Amino acid sequence: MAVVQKKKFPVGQIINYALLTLLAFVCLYPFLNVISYSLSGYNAVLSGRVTH
Amino acid sequence: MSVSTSTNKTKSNFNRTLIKAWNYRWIYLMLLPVMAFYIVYGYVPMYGVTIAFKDYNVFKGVMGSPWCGVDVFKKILTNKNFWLAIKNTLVLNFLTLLSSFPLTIIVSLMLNEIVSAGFKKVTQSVLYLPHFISWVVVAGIATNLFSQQGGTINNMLNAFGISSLPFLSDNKWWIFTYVVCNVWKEIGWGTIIYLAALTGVDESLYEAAHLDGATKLQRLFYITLPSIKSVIVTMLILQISKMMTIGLDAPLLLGNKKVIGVSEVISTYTYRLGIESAKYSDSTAIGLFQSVINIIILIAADKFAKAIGEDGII
Repeated sequence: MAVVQKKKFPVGQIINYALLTLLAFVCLYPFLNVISYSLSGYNAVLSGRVTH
Repeated sequence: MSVSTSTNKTKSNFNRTLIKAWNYRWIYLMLLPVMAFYIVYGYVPMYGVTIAFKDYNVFKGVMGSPWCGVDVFKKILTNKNFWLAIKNTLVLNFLTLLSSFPLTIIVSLMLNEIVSAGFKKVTQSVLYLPHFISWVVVAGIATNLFSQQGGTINNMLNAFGISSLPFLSDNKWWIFTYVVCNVWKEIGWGTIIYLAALTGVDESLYEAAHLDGATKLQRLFYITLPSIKSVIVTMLILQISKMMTIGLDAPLLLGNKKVIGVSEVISTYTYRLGIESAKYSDSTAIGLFQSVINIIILIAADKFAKAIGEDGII
């Protein structure tokens, strides 16, 4: 009888991946913000309509 | 007789050294640019330190200006702005160290646990990215994000019903913003040394621990951290030794008149004295004072590390 071994993906790994993804996003977000400001119109920036 | 024997011995030692140097001539040749760099940019400018002990006059030059002993030091040490700059430097450096040092190690350990090579590479690259951005750009980004009027973070807070926070105009919040910007900029770059140290940990130790039934956390606390302990201590000593040194650009660009009470650090104070007020003797004396304190802190940190059984760096 063949033994089917389930592939383990522990909760710790999931949390680790999630936290690193979040950290990477935090590092990237300000760049995204700058690009948004650069591509937005003058009035949109001044009126605070550029949020990300 | 004995004199001539000792002279011959010295000569033969010298000849042997010359032969050895000739054999490694290409290695020594590669050393030359580095030596030239340190001589030109490290040792020759030390001559300028004499300005701290002179009543320096630009027109008379360094040699022509009259000596004034330690008068300049007496003057700066009795200036309350100088002590405020020292206090601010220590507070900002201490808080940055307190937050960035453990975070860097934690992120390194997290990256080390990643199995997927692709995800690890992408994450590392993204984390390194802010290090390559100049402080001028970072200050611009920080202003966009943290501004009280229309700043992205405050817009988000407002959306959740929280009133705007004075990130850049209140002393306490400014310190918080400064530390956050520093951590954001350098956290990824700081992981490089720890990741290099982690790759050197013997895999057989993990295998043995796994067979013995050790959990991931136990492997972390009993194998990983002890294996990189010496690197952690070395990095801590190096960072503590820079406690009195702070970059000019970050506090100068992030700071403003409202928060001058916390953003005026040694580098900005020296800049204002030396460049804006042309008090060259004062700024040189502060620079010298700063270097001496840094050396004292370095030696103290090294001695402390040795006292608790670690390898020092001196």
